[in-house]
Amino acid sequence: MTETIIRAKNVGYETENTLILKNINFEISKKDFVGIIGPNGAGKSTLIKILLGEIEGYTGDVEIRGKIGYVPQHDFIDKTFPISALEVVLMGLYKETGILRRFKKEHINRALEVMKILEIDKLKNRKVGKLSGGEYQRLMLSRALVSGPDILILDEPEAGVDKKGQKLFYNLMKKLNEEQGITVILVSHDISMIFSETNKVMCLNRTLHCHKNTSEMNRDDFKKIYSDSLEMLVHIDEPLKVVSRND
Amino acid sequence: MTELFSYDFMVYAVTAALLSGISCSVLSNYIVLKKMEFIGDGAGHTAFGGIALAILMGWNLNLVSVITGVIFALSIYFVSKKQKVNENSIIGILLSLSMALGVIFISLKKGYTPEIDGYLFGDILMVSETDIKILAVVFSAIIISVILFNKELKYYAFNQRMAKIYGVPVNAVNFLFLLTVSVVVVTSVKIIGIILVTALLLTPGIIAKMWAGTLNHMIIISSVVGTVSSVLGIIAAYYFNIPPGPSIVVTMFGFFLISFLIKNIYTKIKK
Ligand SMILES: Nc1ncnc2c1ncn2[C@@H]1O[C@H](COP(=O)(O)OP(=O)(O)O)[C@@H](O)[C@H]1O
Ligand SMILES: [Mg+2]
Repeated sequence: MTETIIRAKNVGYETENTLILKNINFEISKKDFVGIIGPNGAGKSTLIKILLGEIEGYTGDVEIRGKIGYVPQHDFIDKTFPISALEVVLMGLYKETGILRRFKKEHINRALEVMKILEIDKLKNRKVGKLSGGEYQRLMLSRALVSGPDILILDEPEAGVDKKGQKLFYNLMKKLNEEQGITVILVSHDISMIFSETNKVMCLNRTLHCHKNTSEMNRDDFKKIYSDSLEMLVHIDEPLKVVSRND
Repeated sequence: MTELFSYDFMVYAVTAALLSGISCSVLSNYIVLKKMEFIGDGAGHTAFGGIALAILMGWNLNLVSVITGVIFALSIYFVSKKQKVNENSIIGILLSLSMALGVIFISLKKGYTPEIDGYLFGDILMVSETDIKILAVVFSAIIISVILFNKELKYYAFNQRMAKIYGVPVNAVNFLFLLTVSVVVVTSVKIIGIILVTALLLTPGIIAKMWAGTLNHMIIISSVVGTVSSVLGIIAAYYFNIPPGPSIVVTMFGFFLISFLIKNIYTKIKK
């Protein structure tokens, strides 16, 4: 029995007379590991903003049955901002503070617990600007996880992380998905990873082109969907790579 | 030194300079962190139009400047919320409009208007008991807000979008912040002047950011900088017979220079 956790029906979004999204229909079940791919400017981040409730004025229906944790796309920050890693993670618990909006011992312990799992607890007092790319990525993930979400949405979380760090990060996603039963939605340009790790792939370019099991999707399908809407470079051997105009 | 404070006007001057200096210093942290450097200039110059109108019509200056400040804050808030026009663009437009109106109002007033100089560069001799009371209220409001809304202000300054997603009422914080800055600026013009108030709204925060590990440390460091430069600036003004507003600004710049040099030497040694 698969239980639907997110359902989008005929979702569309237009701003300043430009069409950003059109005819988006999909269902995501509990414990799915969904990959979203598509060229730059395809509307991936916009779709996520709609799921987060950040955008008003879209058409269609979105139904979400669970708490969302979110890791933003290259969230450029001021490297000299005097805020510690722990303070950033606590931001994820702001909603759970009482009327006085104080963080209690319990909140701090929960934050440290998540940071420990992601191996950044020793950096709790470090200024965020002094963290490495991989540490910063795990910090963002800690903040997303600290409130115990049912759904984890990550928008191109690979920025500034080396290949080895990326691999570890994907394994972590996999673990959260399999062991904790968290539904993961991952926007990424790393297509080989998307194909090997996820159980559903969504190809987005203004509208949703496909939504199938990865096994049902082959390179020819992929080429057909994409070739007329972007310049695509497929290395016939390994690995599959998409290059959009902006790259 | 004791003789200095035997004059009523000096006691007023120092009290006013302290209240306005610390208020501006505390706000400067958020202005620097949020990179809203232009706001002080904008609010100050915009106040000029209101002040000139009040002088022309013979209205209550404090009231008119506070109203001007509120209008300024409201305009920035609502126009920039639409996201079609950048915040700094609106500030730039309002700033020059209000200055232009101010100059027109003054030209309409027959005869010489000596007070105007005082508002441009500050004239601490103009400070009245009422001014001190207003400054004290603004000062207390700022200190209480920074304590009560410490977290909200921190997350708002750090990342407004993510703060909003995590439930921080950023729209309210943003509006109240703009409002506070505008009111502080218009109530500080007698001490520091329209042209110079920007210095008070930037320098303490910039110095504090060089050294602080947390935002709260930054608030403390900037307040100390604000306190010491206000008092030293006024004492220097008295002894050298120079205008106090510019004297405070120059003192503050001195602290910035010292801090900058020490910081550079310190980082060189650490390497
Ligand atoms: N606030 C906005 N106003 C107008 N256009 C926007 C806005 N945000 C994004 N867009 C446009 O919407 C399209 C999709 O953007 P985005 O969702 O960020 O794409 P992706 O994340 O797939 O790269 C782009 O063409 C972008 O220029
Ligand atoms: Mg994007």
